[in-house]
Amino acid sequence: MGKFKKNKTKGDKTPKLLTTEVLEQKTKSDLARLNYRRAKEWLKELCKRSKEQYLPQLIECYNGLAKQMLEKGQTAEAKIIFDHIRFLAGDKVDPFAEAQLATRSGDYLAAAEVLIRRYGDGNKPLNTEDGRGMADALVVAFEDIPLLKEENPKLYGELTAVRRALEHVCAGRFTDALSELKHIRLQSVFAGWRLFIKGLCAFYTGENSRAREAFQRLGNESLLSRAARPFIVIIDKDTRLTSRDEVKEPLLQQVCRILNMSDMATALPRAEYLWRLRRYADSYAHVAQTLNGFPSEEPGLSHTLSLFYFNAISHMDPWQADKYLTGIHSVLRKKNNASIDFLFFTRMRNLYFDNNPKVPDHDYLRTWEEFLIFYHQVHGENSKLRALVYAHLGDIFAREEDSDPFAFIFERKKQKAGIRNFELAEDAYENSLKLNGHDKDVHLKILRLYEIAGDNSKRNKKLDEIIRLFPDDKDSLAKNGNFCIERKAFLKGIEFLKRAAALDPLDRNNRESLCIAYIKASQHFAKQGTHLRYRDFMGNAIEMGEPGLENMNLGRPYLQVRLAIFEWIGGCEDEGNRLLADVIRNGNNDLRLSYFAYLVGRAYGTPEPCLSQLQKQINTIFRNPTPAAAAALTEVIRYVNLIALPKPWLDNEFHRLNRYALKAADNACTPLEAEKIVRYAIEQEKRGDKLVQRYVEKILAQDPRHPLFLYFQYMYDRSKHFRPPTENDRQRLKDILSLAVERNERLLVNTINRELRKIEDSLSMKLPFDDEEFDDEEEDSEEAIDFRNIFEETVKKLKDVKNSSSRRKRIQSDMQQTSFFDDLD
Amino acid sequence: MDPYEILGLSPNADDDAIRKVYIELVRRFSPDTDPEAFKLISGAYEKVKDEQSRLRHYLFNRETPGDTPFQAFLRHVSYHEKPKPMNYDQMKEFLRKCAKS
Repeated sequence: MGKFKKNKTKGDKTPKLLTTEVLEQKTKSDLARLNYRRAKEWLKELCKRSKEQYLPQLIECYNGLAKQMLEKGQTAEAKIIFDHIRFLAGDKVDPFAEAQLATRSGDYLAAAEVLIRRYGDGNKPLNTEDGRGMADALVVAFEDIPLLKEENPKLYGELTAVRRALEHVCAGRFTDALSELKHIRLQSVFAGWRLFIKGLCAFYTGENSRAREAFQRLGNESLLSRAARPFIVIIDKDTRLTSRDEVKEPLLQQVCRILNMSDMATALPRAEYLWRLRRYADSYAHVAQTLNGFPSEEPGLSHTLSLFYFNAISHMDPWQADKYLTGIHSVLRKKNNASIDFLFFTRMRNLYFDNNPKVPDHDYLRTWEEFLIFYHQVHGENSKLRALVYAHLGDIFAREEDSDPFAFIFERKKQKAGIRNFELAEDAYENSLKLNGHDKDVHLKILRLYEIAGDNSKRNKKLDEIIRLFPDDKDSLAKNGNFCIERKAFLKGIEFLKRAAALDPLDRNNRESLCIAYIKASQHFAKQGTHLRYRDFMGNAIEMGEPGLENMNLGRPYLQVRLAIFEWIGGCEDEGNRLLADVIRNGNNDLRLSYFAYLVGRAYGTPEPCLSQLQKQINTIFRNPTPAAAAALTEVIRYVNLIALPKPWLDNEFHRLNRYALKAADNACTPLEAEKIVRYAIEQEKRGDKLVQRYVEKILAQDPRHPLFLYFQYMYDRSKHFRPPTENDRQRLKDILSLAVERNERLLVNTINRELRKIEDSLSMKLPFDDEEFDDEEEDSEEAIDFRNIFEETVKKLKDVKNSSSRRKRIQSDMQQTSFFDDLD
Repeated sequence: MDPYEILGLSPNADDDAIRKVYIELVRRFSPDTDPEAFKLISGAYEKVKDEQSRLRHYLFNRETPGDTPFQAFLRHVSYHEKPKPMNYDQMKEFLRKCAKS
């Protein structure tokens, strides 16, 4: 009763004072809760009152308690209980519990014999679980059991087959092992072992999927399932271990043993455990302490683990990375500086510092130089490696720094705030080139550095050097050619561009650059009145031009129109008129050619009298509005807008064309014509609103399911309200997408998919004021509203900034395009 | 994974040896028969095909062979050696441990 007294809970009376009914009720309730310890106290009292009636229940309760103890590893206590059962009722001990006790005590044969005595003759029925338990006990005894041979020869035969099969597996005789399994019946208590051995054979012959299938069929919580688990872990090497496994280091030890790497069994499980606790540096220290030859640069497991530990920092958050760095440094402090450990460590630290702008530039430079010293001490001199390190330093110092940390949130264009450290970047690149002067990448990187820094003199010198060193590099030639054209060294520039185009005649970009160079040079020489030069250049350009009216840079008719304009500029009015008349006639009087001649003529600064005739023709065109003509004219003005600086006459021309296109909307229109007009109108932002609305409505009235015009309508609606995208927007786009897919509009499908991804990213971002927590807190609600207002105001301001910056951007881009046609004034 | 280990080469192998092994592997694991293996092999070859690439990989590689030390170990083993069976005594010990746990 001692235990009862100890465990007595408040309100419980001693069993003696309780009636039999109450004791029975309490017993039932405790047994239901598997509280055998308390139940046995009530049963003991009941046995005193009626031993015959209650003894079987007490024995059952003791057996339950013993099993519980065995599960907790209390083998000594379980043995006392079994002795007590024997004292009370002879052989009423649960054979499986007793066998389990023997197994835990390492007496496998005794465990097997207990079960054979009880079930081995085959007369007593066995349920599946008990049968499996007996089979396990018999196999792991791994000794001859004469008792079984006498009692149940059939079972004995199957047991022998299992053991022989296991022996064959261990000796690598997998076919023999599989033939041995044929002696085991499918319904046998050894059926699980049959499956396990099949799994082993598949595992060792590399048939992982079959092995996995066999092992997974072994179920849970049995000897075989525990034995199969490490094999499954090896097969599914990328599956994360469950939390239960994490605390069970034996699983990892077993994996090491299965892989015949017992030495790892002491190092890895603990290292894994510490890593999972996020004690990363401790995990490293444990491996460094327990694993010989770690870290290592030689191929092998030690090298793999070295890569793991020294590259892991790149995947940690900054706080953890700092801690990890300090932790490993303190482990290494005791080591020799010239060791591989330090080499790995400095490399890891330096790569971590790559993305840490807090490290001062000179310190950062020093850290890499320290690495080079360690490398030299360990491996000796390697100039190519030094060159790469300096090139890397150059890359880091040449990084453009971003002054607007919130740019990514509001999709603002990043503002250039300059290079991190121009001098150090230049020095580093130069050092790299001193060590490996033929590294073209580094030459090009310095060139880019000069370009970003706007140092034209150094840029041009470098480009000349690159061309000298790499005469067959078409990109460098083209780049140099374009720079020469920019600084009006036309002959030199054309020479470079010709060489670039000759190196790869199929490269359209280079051909286009050369053509533009001819045009620019011709414009220059036409102004000087050097007829031969511009005629020669334009002759070459026309020769390399393309037929058709699609490309206004390379299209032969457009080049001929330009030659006519240059004749006008060069003072040969008649020749110009003749040429233009020929081109327009040969081009079937296409409106685009006349309008192109008129607009480009004005952009190039052609004398007014030369254009008067042309102007009359254009005025005539504008008197008769049709969507087809409007679409053609928009193509021309869009191109000229790209190449010309903004000027009042061009602005007026836009207004005139807008009015014309709007009037034309009353006439019948094809979707292709409408598309051209809408694209033109969208570029003009507010000025083109009416045109967009008008043409989109017109086409949708004809075809309400036209995906492109539905998309235009969507974009137009979105541009009217500057607000974050909503679920409705997403749904609307998805509907348009399905129409586009239906009509096989591949380009539109891609565009909508991109837009959808943006919306989904935006919707997945949760703003602070959208958080329910904020909404629930009444005290904070006012502040939350204020914050919302502030945010909305900020967004509004940003919109204004964005609009003005986009206007600025357009002007800048126009200016850039105009650089092809400089001296327009 | 370490490219040398994927290609089964020593880091001291020269350009010719690396190319030879690469061609051999690509023949065995073509993009049609085993696209995943082909991708892995091609990626590894790109990293070590010449001295410059090898040095660059040595200096600036940030990849880890797994998310935890154990995963790195398992991946290493799976690429390298086909597991050999335990001997019979080890098997006995292994199964008895499973019985006890």
